[in-house]
Amino acid sequence: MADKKVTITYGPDGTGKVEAEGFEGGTCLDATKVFEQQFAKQVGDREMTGECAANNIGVRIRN
Amino acid sequence: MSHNVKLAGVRVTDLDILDEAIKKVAPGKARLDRTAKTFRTYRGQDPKCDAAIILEGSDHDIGLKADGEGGYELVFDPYALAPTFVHETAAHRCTQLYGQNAPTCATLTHTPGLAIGALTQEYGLMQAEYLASQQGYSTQRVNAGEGRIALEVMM
Repeated sequence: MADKKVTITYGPDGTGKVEAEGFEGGTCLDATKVFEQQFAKQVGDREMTGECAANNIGVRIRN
Repeated sequence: MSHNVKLAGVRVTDLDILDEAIKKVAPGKARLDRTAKTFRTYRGQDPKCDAAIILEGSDHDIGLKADGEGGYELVFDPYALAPTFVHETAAHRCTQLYGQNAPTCATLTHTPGLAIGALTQEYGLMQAEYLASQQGYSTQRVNAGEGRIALEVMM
């Protein structure tokens, strides 16, 4: 069985991207959820691509 | 023109971790004041806050405003904030564009997240490491290039 791994990539501007690999079906979305909650604004829909990948979560500016 | 911006995409929920991130990124140059009710910012802008990050040797701070859901949003004037938390990637870009002694950087004022990117990045990494450790997972930081740092969580 492949190792399961979640990768959260933090940019130099506060943005983040959460990805998961090695999971079966939609279980990856459960695995990434706790880390996605760090970010206040989600860009786009969460989706599975290939093995599994959550969407980018970006910074939004309001004055 | 100076004005406050609120980084709505960045959410601080753990002040203890924020405190540790501040001490790591800017030791002796900034501190967290959990009792602050106002923060220093451009005149005419709303200075009210629920906590503040005090920048030493500066006349501007970063305000933390409660979001009503247990977290805080970061508010500050990117035009006048000291470069205490500027990510080295942004600083390098500014140096390339404006020279070593540029007092301000138009690049940062158009992308406020970069003005405190070093802090928000470290806070995110620390919090994710904590969340992972709570569930018994090991983690590893990996340089992802262009100022990005990836945290690998092995499950």
